[in-house]
Amino acid sequence: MSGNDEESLSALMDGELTGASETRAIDALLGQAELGRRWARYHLIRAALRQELHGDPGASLHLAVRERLAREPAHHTRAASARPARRAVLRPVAGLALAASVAAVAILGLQGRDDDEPPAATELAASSPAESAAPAPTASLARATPAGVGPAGTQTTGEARPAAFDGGGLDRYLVRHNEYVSGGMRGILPYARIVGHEDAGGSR
Amino acid sequence: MPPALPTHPVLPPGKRFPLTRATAGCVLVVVLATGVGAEALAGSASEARRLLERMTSATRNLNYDGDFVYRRADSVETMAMRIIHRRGPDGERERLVALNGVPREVLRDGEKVTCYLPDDREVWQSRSEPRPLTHARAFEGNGGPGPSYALSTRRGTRVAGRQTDLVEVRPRDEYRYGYRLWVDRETGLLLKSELVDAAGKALEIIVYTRLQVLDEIPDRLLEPENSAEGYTWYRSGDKAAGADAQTGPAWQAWLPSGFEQRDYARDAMPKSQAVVEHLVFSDGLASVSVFIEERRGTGAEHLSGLERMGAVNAYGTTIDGVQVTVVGEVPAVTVEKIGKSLSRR
Repeated sequence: MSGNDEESLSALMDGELTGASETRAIDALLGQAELGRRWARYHLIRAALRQELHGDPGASLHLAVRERLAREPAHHTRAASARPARRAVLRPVAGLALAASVAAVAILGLQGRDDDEPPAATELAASSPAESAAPAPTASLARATPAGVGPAGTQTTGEARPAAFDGGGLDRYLVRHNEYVSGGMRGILPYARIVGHEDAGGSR
Repeated sequence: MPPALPTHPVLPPGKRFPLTRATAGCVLVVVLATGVGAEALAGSASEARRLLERMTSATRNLNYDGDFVYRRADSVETMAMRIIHRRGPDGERERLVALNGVPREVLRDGEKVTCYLPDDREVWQSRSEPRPLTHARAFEGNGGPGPSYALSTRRGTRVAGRQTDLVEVRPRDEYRYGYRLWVDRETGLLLKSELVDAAGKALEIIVYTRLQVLDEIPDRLLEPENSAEGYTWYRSGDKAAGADAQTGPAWQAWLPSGFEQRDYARDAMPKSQAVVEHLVFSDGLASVSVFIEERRGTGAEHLSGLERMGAVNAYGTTIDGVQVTVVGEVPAVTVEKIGKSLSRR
């Protein structure tokens, strides 16, 4: 009897084996008398430890194993992951906001002092996690009043779900709308929203 | 006309510097500005107007090739792009292409606008609209509550190695966005643009890192980089017959003061070909589109509530069983208020 068999037996004993491993171990058990005896002894020891000892543990091993097999739960495969209903346009707002805040700080450092801009000019309006408390999946973020006033009197801009140009529904409207944008003084620049994109890496 | 002034010594090679009255006037502004010392001089609104008009003209009429970076407040990414623009005998032609990642690009001429989306292996092509001019009423008002925006200008910092004038466009209320525009002193081209909210915080930033004004732009620079081989082409139909700015659906909506209906069309949307009514409202600078269409299928694909993409906000809702989608470079409160107020006459 090999060490592997002992280990398998031990693992089988402890219920650590599943699927093919378990089947193999049980086959080995059934095929080797010595293993069978060990199996009996293991159960005896365990039963003693649990103070379950009663009757003769030497009952037919085959019966015991068969019983065990019968008790074996249906073989589980990992639950098939749900097909994504649609390409995700919702983003984890809080996490993104935090990252954006960090990025804003980095940008500030890069740009340095710009003497023709008011103090907070270069700071991007990245909503803080506190401001973006409105949960992203909420369908309707009805606000009867004008844009709410966030901390320190700043206007919040984070009420709407952030989206990206990814071929989804909003994009078609954006392409048609772009043709009427901004008085034409910035030319084709509004299309930067379509051309610029966050490279998720990998195809969709 | 003022006498011709010497050209700027740091002209990029290969560029001819057209000496126009506007250019000379710009140099005059510089002289005035420096004449009052180091402190930045706040120019008059009319001076700002002139700079904006010059900027619009330069954007449409010059040949240029530049790189810029685009950044949104709600994104951690900085996106780099190249723009090529030509005004030639075949009219205005331009191309915008992403320099990072997948090379999305948009090509535009007098007839059509074509979006290449290599990540989806699709091409969207639709009718291009005549470029609107920024309407004077945006800045002058009509004797009513006043102009929608207040203008001012002062000296700007160096951008892309060039001297600039900074034009500030301040909205009069919370229903629209403002701009800070750094305009190249030599050519009048836009070198840096910040779209800002009412608190002055930037929602979108575009900064040029390189900009060359050229005598000529070869055709190949205006050809798409994407071969589009095997791509699916989606073409929108032409404007439905009989539709013009005057006729329109029997809809009414609340609009921020200064907004008027500017256009109306019945269109086939890109890709889906669904027929939609498309109203365009504008205050002379900002535009808001209202799309009205039949709801399709379960309606799951229709926008419901608020969504935003950088400075563009959208609001979707159902009214009388039809889908209404409001899209604009305006704050979320604006598209939402317009959408909720929409009703049939």
